[in-house]
Amino acid sequence: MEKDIKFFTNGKRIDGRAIDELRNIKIEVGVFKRADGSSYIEWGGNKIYCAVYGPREAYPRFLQKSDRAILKCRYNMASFAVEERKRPGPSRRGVEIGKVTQGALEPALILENFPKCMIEVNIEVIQADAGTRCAGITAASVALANAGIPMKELVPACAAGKVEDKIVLDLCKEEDNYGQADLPLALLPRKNEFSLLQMDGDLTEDQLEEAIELGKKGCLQVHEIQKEALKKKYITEDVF
Amino acid sequence: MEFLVKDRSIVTPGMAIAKGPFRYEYGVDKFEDTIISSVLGIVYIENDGIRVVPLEGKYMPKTGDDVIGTIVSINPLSWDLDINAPYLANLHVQDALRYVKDTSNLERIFKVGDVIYANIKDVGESSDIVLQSKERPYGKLKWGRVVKIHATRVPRVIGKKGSMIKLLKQMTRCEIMVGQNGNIWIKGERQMEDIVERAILKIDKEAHIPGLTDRIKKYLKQKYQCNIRCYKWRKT
Repeated sequence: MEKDIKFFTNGKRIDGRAIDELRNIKIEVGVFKRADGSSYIEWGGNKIYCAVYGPREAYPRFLQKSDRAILKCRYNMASFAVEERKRPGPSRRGVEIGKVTQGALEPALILENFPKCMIEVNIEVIQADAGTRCAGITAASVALANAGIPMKELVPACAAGKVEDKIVLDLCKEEDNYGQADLPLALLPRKNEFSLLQMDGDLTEDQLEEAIELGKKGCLQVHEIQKEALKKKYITEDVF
Repeated sequence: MEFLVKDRSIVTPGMAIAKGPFRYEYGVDKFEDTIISSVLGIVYIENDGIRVVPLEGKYMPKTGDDVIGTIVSINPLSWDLDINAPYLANLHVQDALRYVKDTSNLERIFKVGDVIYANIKDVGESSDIVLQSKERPYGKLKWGRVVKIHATRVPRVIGKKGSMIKLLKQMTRCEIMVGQNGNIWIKGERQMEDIVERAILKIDKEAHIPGLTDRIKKYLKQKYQCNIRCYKWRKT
C-alpha cells in the first residue's frame, strides 16, 4: 500500500519546506456581492470559497431556538477538485466535515444575540490539496467576521502529522496520502482551547503532545494572516 | 487602565482593546480583565466608555428608530415588512393609519411591494418588531426608488449636523428619506436619482475613509456638469 517516496532530502520536505513551516496562505475578503460575508483562501494548492448568509429567520421552523441562533455549515467539494472525478452532491465525507466545522466555529460565536435566527456557512472546495477542512474553517471564520456577526475571536485551523516518524506541520498531498498520521486542529487562541481535534493514523502519547504543540504554533501563524486579511480590505481599498 | 489600540483604528474580532475596569458599550466583549472587540469595526474610545462601530452586519432594531421597509406579505389584520433586520417587522392596521374605514381588504391600503416609512414602536422580548405609521412624516412613500446600504453607515450619509444629506439634497434637488436601517428613499428627476444613488453607494463603500464630504462634493459636481453637458448635446 505504502508508496516508495523519500519524504526528506537534506532535512527539507518534498515541497522544499522545513518541518515546522506552513504552505503559502492567501486570504481575500468580501469576494461575493450577494452573500452577507464571504472569503476566498488559497492555502498551498487548496482553493476554497466561503459564503456566509444571515443572521436570518431559521428555516425549517422547528429548528428555531428561542434563546439563540443556530449555525448551519455545509461543506461541498467540486467534482473537479481532486485527481479522479468526485461524484457531485452530498457525500458521507462532506456531511461529516460540515458537522465538525460547525462544532469548531460555534464556541467562538455569540449566538445569543440573535434568537430564532439561522446563520449559514457554505464552504465550496474548488481545488483540493490536503487539509481542506482546516482551510475551510479558517476561511469560514474570516467570512463570518466579514458578515458582521459578533464573535469572541477568530478561529484559525491547521494540521500536524507524522511522516517517517517525524512530526511535521501542515501536510502536503503526498505526506497526507502516504504519511503515517494526520491531526487537524482548530484553536480558540484567547481561550487557549481546541475546538477541533481529529486524528487519522497512529501516534504515541508523546508524539501526540508534540504534534498538538506544533499544530498550535501553526494555528497562531494562521491567526495573524486572518487578521491581516480582514484589515487589508479596509485599509488599501481604492479610494478614487 | 491601559489602552492597547489607538482611537479610531480598525479592530478584528477577538482583538484586545484595553485592560482594566471600563464601561463598555456595543461591539465589545469582556475576557477576564481584558476588553476585546467582538466585531470587525472601528473602535471609538471616549472618556466614559469604549465602543466598536461595526463595518458590516445587519440592522439591529431599536425602539424609536425611523425605518423604511417594504411590504412582503399581508395578514388578516396586519402587514409584514422587510426592514433589513434578521426578523420581519409587523405593522397592525390600528397603527397604520389614523382613520381606517374598512379593514376587510387590506390590499386597498398597502399592497405587497409598497415602501413604508415607519417608526419602531416596540421590540419585544422574543425580537418581534412592532411598527407604527400614524403620525405625519410616516406613511407610504410613493414613486421614487430605494437604495440599500449598510445600516452601520447611515450616520455617514447624514453627516455632521446633516451636512452630507443637505449637500445631496441641494445639489440634486431630490427628496431623500433616510431610514435608520440603511434603506434610503430618493425621489426626483430620473437623472438626478441616478446620481444620488451612485453617490450613496460611494458613501457606503468609502465610509471609513476620512475626507468623505469633500470627495462626495467633488464627485457630485463632476457628475452634475457631465449631465448638463449631455443634456445640451441632446438638445442641439
